[in-house]
Amino acid sequence: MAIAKARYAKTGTTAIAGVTHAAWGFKPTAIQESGGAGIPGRKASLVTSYDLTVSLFGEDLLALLAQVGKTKANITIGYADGAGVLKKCVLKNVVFTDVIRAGDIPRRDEGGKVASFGILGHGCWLSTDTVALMRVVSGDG
Amino acid sequence: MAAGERIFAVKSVNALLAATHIGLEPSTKVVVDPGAAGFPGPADFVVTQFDLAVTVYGEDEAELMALVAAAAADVTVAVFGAAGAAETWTISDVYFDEAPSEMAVPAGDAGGRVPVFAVRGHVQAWEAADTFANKLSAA
Repeated sequence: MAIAKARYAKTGTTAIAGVTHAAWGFKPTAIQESGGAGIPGRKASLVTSYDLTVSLFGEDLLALLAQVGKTKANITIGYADGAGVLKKCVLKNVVFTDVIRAGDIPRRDEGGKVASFGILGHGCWLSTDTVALMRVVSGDG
Repeated sequence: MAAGERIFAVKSVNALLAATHIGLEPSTKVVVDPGAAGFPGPADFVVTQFDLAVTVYGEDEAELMALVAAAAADVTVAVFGAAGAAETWTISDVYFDEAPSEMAVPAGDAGGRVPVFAVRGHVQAWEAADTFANKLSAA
């Protein structure tokens, strides 16, 4: 079922103030074998590593910046799916490392929507981890 | 609602008469431990450096240039916070060392909003245990 809208984000069990939305993704690193001379196309490809990225966006810049550089922690993102069913996704051992949107604090005559600020983190893996262990989706009663 | 949540607009910057707004550019340096052979992903990420650049925009070039090369000091920004409540942001130990714009003087028939000038500085005096949370606060 599609994901419809974000409800909250937590580090451990503590809510991160002002979060409006979030994103996560696994970026695979693959190595390709082109094959020998005369092979007309790619012979094989193998995924050797993943990068789990987690982005949080929100209206509270201080709350987001306070996450950057902290000890790794599980991040829980609560959301409602397309049918309105409440779900949560636990992303394992995340360290927030980068600020992806800080920007201007606007002039008073500018108008428009309140800015969403953003930070980016990465999951830290153990040798026994898998994609399924790093991202666990369950109901959120 | 917590201070720092929902910033609507800048009310004032320090005691500057003609400052209009600010820009914040936090950035980091990160060291990645890729893990041993066979690891399914990076084993660790460590933030080793923080930088917080602050740009102050305003209509008075001389007023802003007076900040450049002055001793590092806190920048105090009054903002309209949640529901219009007055909040104060403090950015610690800022030393202004850049003037990225020129003061534009428009032609009489150009129209538009009065041009603004900008100076840019960086938070300094980072101690070993500091993070962004130690250099930026709201009340």
